[in-house]
Amino acid sequence: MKKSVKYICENKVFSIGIFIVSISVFIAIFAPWIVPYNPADAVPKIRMLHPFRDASHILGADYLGRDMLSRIIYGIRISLLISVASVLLSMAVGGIIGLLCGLNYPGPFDTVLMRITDIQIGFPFIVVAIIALSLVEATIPSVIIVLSLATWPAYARNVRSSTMSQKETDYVAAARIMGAKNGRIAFRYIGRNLLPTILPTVSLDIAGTMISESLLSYINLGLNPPIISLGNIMADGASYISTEWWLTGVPGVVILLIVLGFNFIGDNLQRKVDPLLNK
Amino acid sequence: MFTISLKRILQGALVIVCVTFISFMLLRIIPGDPARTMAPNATEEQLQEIRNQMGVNETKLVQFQKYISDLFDGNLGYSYFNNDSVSHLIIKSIPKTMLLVINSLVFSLAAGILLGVIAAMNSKSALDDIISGFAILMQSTPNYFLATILIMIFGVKLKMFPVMGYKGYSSTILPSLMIALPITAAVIKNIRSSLMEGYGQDFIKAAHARGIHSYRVLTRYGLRSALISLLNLIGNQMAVLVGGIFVAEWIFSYPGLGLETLNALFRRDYLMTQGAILVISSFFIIVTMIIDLSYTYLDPRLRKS
Repeated sequence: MKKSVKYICENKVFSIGIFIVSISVFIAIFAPWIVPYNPADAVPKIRMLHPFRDASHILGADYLGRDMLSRIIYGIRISLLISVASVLLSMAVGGIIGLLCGLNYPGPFDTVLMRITDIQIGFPFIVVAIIALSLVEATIPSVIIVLSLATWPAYARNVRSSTMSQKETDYVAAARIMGAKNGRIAFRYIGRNLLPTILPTVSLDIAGTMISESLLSYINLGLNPPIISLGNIMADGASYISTEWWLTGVPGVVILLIVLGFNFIGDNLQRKVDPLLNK
Repeated sequence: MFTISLKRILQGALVIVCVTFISFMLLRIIPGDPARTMAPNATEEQLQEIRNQMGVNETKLVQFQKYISDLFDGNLGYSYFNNDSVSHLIIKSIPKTMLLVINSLVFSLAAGILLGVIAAMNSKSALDDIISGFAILMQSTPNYFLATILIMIFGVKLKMFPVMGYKGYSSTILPSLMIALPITAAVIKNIRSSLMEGYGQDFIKAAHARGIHSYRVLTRYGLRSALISLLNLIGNQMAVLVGGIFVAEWIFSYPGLGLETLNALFRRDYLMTQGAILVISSFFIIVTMIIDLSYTYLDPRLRKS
């Protein structure tokens, strides 16, 4: 614990990442208590109010006169929820499949599942997303699942290849001699040892998924109003881009900052895990 | 090496067949009636006739069988919405998309390698911080947001490049830049880290010790070993490239294959969508396969397994 606190303090970029991410998580959790106004309330008097003009509406108001700050706070809540949930889902699914494949290698189960990941990777994600979101209505759970389609094959492959090398190590052999069953070896021994190698990817994937989520909303395939996500807010402003650029610019910068935070953390963890990059 | 290549090619072919089958079936489960989209005011009888003509009345498996047998004759079907054969439409839009692909790959490799080398040679200096900072910033910007910024700066304020449609080569600059910048960032990070990793190793120290000029050490020893991991990276970035093409063509209304696919999909133009997905996925799978095979060839350690 003491060591990790020291590491965070010594590493500027990493601490900036932690700082940004903790603030956005805080905003996401306590959104209903910290919003200054109801994000759905339209006040016609303040339509298209520019940011930093009025202290009571610091980020201005959109084309209906809804307070931008409140909308962005709720947008962070939804966008963060979706990206974190979808990465956790794909980590769980991909991780379990990878573990089972690695243990099964070179068996039929492994061959079949690896071909399925090939097929998934062979489909450009945006095409999958468009087809899937034409099939089912875009709700929060369905968007989470669609987004995880993009990331699970990478987890399955990474976990599989690490499992294959871990399988041959002494500690696994020792566990086997002590009579541990396959399931126990997979989750208690190998799975636990793989966690540090996966963690940096998780952080980088949350960043990537956040971008994909906002992209889907931006091209009108993602969540529809009244649900507010950061991509939705940008899509709303896109029609006014040539005159009122800040309507898309402000939520865009917010996405950028949060994604930057997750990328800072992920990059640093990756360097920490890969000792060759440390020199 | 030969058996590995053969195995890999067969695997690739299998994946293409599966992708074709899955997209064929999925497209036909999507709610929406192509006949209705094409003729919104037609009577039920007229709609029936249109459906018969399109061949969407038969069972899905029969349709698929017909599609595959046509495919072997090089016939991708007919797009009723565009009144043209699908293969002609695809062939017409491929050159424009290839322009984007070539532009963005050339830009991202040239700029990425150059900046990556500069960052690695000046590591832990302000210059390195600036370049690495630029790289992570580019990777964190959503690509459509990047497109918006590019449009605002170069299109609206400076009026340097057209921002809509295709009006000659200058129209490809902004979309290519949008696709290329995130890939450039990945190349910078990759080159920087593999050079720094390589410079800690003995063969580089030995080369320096033998008095070889540092420029030659860089090109002959450092970069050469960095190329293998760069090739791997380009393989991984193919997904970013394909996704970027769709977004760029959509935002810039650039008449390439990506825009055609999206339009076809929204109109429920099954055969057109199907053909475009087939071409794009095949391109993607084949390029990934070539990259896979070439680094197996370049790195002798991988040949055995």
